[in-house]
Amino acid sequence: MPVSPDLECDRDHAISFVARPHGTSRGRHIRVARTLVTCATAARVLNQIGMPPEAQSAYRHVNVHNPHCPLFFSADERAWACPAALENHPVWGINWAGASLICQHLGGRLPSQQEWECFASNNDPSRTYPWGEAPATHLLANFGEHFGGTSAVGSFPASELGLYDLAGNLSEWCHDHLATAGAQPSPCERVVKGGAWSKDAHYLEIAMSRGKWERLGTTTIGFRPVWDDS
Amino acid sequence: MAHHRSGSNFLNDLLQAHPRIECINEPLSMHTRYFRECDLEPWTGDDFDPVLLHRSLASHEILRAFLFDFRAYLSQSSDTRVIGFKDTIFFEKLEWLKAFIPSLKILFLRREPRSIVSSVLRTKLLELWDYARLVPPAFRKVRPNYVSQVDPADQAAAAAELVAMSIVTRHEFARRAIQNFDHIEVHLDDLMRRPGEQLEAVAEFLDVPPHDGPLTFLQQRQEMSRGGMFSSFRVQEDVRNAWERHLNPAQLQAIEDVLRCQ
Repeated sequence: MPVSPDLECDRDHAISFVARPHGTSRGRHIRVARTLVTCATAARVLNQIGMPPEAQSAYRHVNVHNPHCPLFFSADERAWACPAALENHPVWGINWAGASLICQHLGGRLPSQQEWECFASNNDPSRTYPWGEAPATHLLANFGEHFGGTSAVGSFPASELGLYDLAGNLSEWCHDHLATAGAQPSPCERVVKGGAWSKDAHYLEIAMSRGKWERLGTTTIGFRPVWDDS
Repeated sequence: MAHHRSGSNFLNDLLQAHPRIECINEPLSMHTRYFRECDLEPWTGDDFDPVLLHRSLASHEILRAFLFDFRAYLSQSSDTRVIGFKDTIFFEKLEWLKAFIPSLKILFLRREPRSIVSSVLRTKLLELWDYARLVPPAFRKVRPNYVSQVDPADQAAAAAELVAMSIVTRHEFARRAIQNFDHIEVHLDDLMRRPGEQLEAVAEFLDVPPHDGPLTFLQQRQEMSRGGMFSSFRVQEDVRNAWERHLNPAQLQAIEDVLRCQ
């Protein structure tokens, strides 16, 4: 089933937002995709880019070596595809470089960690979850193995900005390298935010950040593009 | 390191509940196809080549780049953050692995063999891991005297025998090489029965201060069974004794025969 047109992951359907970190008066104008990039969108973009199949014994962008990877290269069609049942699900199995590439093709980019925290909290640094302070439940987000896997985008209530799955379903690649206190940023780890279908509730907290090896396309990380608004 | 279906996803998540531990999931078996295809093919320390890594990787440029990056990623491990990985392969390549990443420490997770067999069969992993092709020849090398008593027409018993062979083979490979590493063995049953004591030992082994995150994680995950095939939300009863409900007498006999053979 195709995703609702309102939830298309492109600039025209994105939410205009001014990121004001730490309550600053001058903010950064961006547009934020309402949903994580879906499997259908990822397959379409890979085909538009002309991404060849991942024919090597290790992958460049798409982890086709995980037997459950939702994306595959159809030898008959000579194109990337996904199972029909997963078209509306957020795509996983794409590493940081692949996520960046797809965002770039969509005319956008991955958000910075700071931007992500701004739009997830609607510029409220005191907020715990995208919906506020209420404890996480399976009615608010897909986390803690309540559903055993990803769910279609738009399945849970949107934030007040109209953004879906800021907490749960899949974590989200950010642009930044992981920086830990008193240490240089890790050259091979990128920040991920937002928790995921298999993770516990505390990963859903806006302030929670993890660093993940950027080479891996895992079962719990997706991505959401943003666009700079002049 | 753990045999398939030994609770390694659970342990992986459990370790990551500690704020100083990062453990990536199956980088060698689920992010390349190469090592699944050459599973149970021994690589020795002498096979290590600093440029090619292994002669069989000569034509696998992207995989070699991946492995070099992997080593660089792991080398970020420090006094303040322990970085590791969980995998269910490489038992027979430990000597090579030691040459490739000399500083590696191994936490070897073990589980009651009947539970492993039962879980592998129920999750239909025989095909994914190509047991029928890979396990018998490797098993014959570690247990050349084994004579199967399984009725060839009894496919269920034959499948159980095959998984038991995999366990014996991988554990024998581990026994031969693990002493080259700073290592610790943890049994899944012990971890569930005496979590405080076991987690303390793991923290000491990994040189991180004790933290209540892993224990809280363990308790929460044991409150109920839910989620998919690889979920770590499981009540103890579903983890420890499920084999009693799922294995028949012929399967149990086949497993025992394989385990007893020297």
